Amino acid sequence: MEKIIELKNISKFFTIGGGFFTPKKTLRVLENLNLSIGKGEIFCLVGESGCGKTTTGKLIAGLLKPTSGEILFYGKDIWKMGKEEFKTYRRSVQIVHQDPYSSLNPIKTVYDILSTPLLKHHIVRSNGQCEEKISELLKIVDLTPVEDFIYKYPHQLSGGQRQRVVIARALTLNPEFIVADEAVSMLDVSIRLSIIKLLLSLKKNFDMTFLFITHDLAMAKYFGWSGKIGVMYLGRLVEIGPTPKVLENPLHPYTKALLLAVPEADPEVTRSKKVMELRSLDLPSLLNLPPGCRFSNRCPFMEPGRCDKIEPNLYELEPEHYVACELYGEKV
Amino acid sequence: MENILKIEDLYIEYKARRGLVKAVRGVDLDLYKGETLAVIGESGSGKTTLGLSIIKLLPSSARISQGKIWYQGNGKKYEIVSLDNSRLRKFRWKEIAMVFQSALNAFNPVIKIWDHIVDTAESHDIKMTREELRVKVLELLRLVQLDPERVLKSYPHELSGGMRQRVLIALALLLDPQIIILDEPTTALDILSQRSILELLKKIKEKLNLSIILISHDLSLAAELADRVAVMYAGSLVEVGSVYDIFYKPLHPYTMGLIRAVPTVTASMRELISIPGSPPDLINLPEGCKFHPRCEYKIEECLKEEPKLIKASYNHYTACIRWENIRNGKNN
Repeated sequence: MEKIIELKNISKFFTIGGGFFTPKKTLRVLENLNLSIGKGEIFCLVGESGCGKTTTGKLIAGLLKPTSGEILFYGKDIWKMGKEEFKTYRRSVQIVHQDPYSSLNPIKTVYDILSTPLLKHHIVRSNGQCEEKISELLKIVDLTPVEDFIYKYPHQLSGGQRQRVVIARALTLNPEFIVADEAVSMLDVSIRLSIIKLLLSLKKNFDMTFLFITHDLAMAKYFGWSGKIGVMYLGRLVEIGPTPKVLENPLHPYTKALLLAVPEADPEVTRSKKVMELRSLDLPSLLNLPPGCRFSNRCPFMEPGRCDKIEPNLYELEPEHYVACELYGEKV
Repeated sequence: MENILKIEDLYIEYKARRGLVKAVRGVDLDLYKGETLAVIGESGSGKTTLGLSIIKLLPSSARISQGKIWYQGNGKKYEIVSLDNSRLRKFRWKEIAMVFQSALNAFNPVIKIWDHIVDTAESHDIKMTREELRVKVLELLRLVQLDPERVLKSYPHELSGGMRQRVLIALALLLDPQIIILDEPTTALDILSQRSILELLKKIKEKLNLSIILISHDLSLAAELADRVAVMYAGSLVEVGSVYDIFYKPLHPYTMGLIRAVPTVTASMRELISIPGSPPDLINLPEGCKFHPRCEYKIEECLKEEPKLIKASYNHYTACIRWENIRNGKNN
């Protein structure tokens, strides 16, 4: 499979404070991140809030510049591209945000929202063509009959319909890659699934590549069953692999803890889970990270002198299934 | 089983510019002593309004137009809808307490947790000295697994989301209530903190023999905690039954749809089916059964009259005239 996006040793630090009274501090949001996404693949990034998954999404969409490392788009570093090349890249990678209530301009109609990028990027040449293209897009996202939606304002639409407009907007520039950042988390249960099915149809019909960012393991499983999953914890990828392998045979203690902790919509399954006791309930602050493995202060399998001393390496335990945990060090 | 709360034919409306929003329509519901009852439904189904009405904390635009809520516990009997303000003060928090949505906004950001607790105690005129109150609070904070000395001296922003949620639960338990209403207790939390709150709630319930009303859109929380489940749609209850009946033998098309639309993590991968359409406008409700525009079991009769809850089996009620067809798996 051809690699569409590749991250090489990406780190992203933010500086906070630095005012008159507060000293400057560095937030190490991402460190040494390596991942690659093949053309037409679904890559799910899961983790808890603050683990850096949205930052990763923004880096891939070119909205943030990494502190160090390279982001390759078809093998080319995006921050060393020429102006025209960078423009093509930005067009090919689009982002769908979490909140459909704040990502649409309330004083613009659906027509305005979709026509602006079409005209600006010269995708269409005339108003007639523009209208044609917009009704085509609305049909793709299932907002039919088109006449009922094209002149509506966002407040006249429900949450699910708005998210469809956001997706249609992401599709205006014929992208190859969509970053879906918690794209269904704000929606109701009955609406969520229909949006997921819409995204899956885009993959099927247009060979779209997805980075699906979510905290919901069940959604990641359903959406990304054919793809890969990456589990993040405090700015590091702790486990990567094909979705069925990671979910059915989790290797990292953190992934195991997550899978045991998540409540499920099935009383017998959820009540028979044996929850993993963590050594600490609280997530450490990014300003005060534990030495060695970042999960070491909470991990019940922690080995003193090893886990809290050395930075874990990435081990490949099965084909394409990687884990960043020193406890597997001897087995490889 | 002993009733601790009985809601009879409750109707609640909100005044809006477009007309009357019928948020709760004809709800009949019992809460038994020592049980956990989950009220599940999507946004706008009226579940939070129902919860607020039980402690009569509705916003001023809402009006209870009909119905009664009986409370019987601690050797006292009240009808809550007719209570005046001075008697409500003595009733709220001592008999029924509530843990609100979004733990961050529930605190005053400029006062410390200890002052917050003192305020709560004073406003419900408890006869307790500061010393007695302190002893009680220390005990409660230990019960919710917090370090009391540190927490009491902190401002809300110094605590993590999970810790704030624990403080809120401790605060709800301050006056030894008989019933606790939990409105989306874990929505803003990460998976691991959510798990610790769930374990905590189970422990507290057992230890204090509380009755709990859990309001949530999340089916997995109901599967995890509830003894009984009430499903709400467009302001009415459409199905009430034991958690096992609801999840394994649902008798209302809406409940069936919800369960088929939610993915699980550990169970084997299965195809999910979404519910077509979107929830109705609460100002212009459809005639007859409110679910009929989205229902696959609809027949002509469904459009005529709104069905009431029908007893299908012991402790299992459904508001669908076609429940026997659903039970037998026939749709013709």
